[in-house]
Amino acid sequence: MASQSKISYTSFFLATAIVILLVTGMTIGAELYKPLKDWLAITFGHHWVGKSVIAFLAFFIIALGANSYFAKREQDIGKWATITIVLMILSSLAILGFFTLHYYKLI
Amino acid sequence: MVDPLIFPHVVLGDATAVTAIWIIVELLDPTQKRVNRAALVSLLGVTLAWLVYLIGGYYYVVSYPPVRDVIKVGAWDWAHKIFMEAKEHIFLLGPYLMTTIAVSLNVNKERLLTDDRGRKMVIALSLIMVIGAATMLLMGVMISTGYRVALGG
Repeated sequence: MASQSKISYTSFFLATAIVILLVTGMTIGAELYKPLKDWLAITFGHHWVGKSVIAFLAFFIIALGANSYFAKREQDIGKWATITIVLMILSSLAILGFFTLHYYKLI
Repeated sequence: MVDPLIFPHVVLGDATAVTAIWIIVELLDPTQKRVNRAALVSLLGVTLAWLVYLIGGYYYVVSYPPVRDVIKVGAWDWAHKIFMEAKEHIFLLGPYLMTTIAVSLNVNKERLLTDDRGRKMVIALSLIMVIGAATMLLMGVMISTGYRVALGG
């Protein structure tokens, strides 16, 4: 069923999926590669602020940028929601698992 | 002394979870009126989620460092090294998920009445928000306890 809406929720799901991957990558990457954490801290004043700004920009650039592409196409909320849920669970477990292993000096 | 930002951070976080529960309830047995109400509630949820994010982020960057230093030398150093480290990053994802739930509901009001799978997946997304908020709350309790343990209380 094609959507006639001018706003595509698919582009927001895509943006969320990419932000989940980006935040997980930056979080683990910054712990394993100190120059990345230092760059985030120096550039944005704090590494968490840096991750926040990058995630925020990525989300709205992708959501609004991809909107016209997806608005003309069939939108499957079930498929995109499933992808988002799976990524959300896996990335949360990856972040928690990483810091647990890091604490016990296994990584 | 408890930082004054902790209370609004926790209360607004809980309120965000309540909006997600409200969305779930409205969508379990949907009518157009219920879907419209869920869409409206989701806008409140988005506003709350971003407020929690700003307050929590400000607290973490500005007020938390001295607390962190105390926890790290205490018996529950893992409260910061595992749970705060994980919390501060998983927390980054919440407002985006809530924004996407709100967009899905607000641009999709009519279709959700007939798209059974889509409706169930919006319910599942909202459930993830509720579980996420409860997990953040639990981690916050462990971090606070880690601070009190380090202070000898």
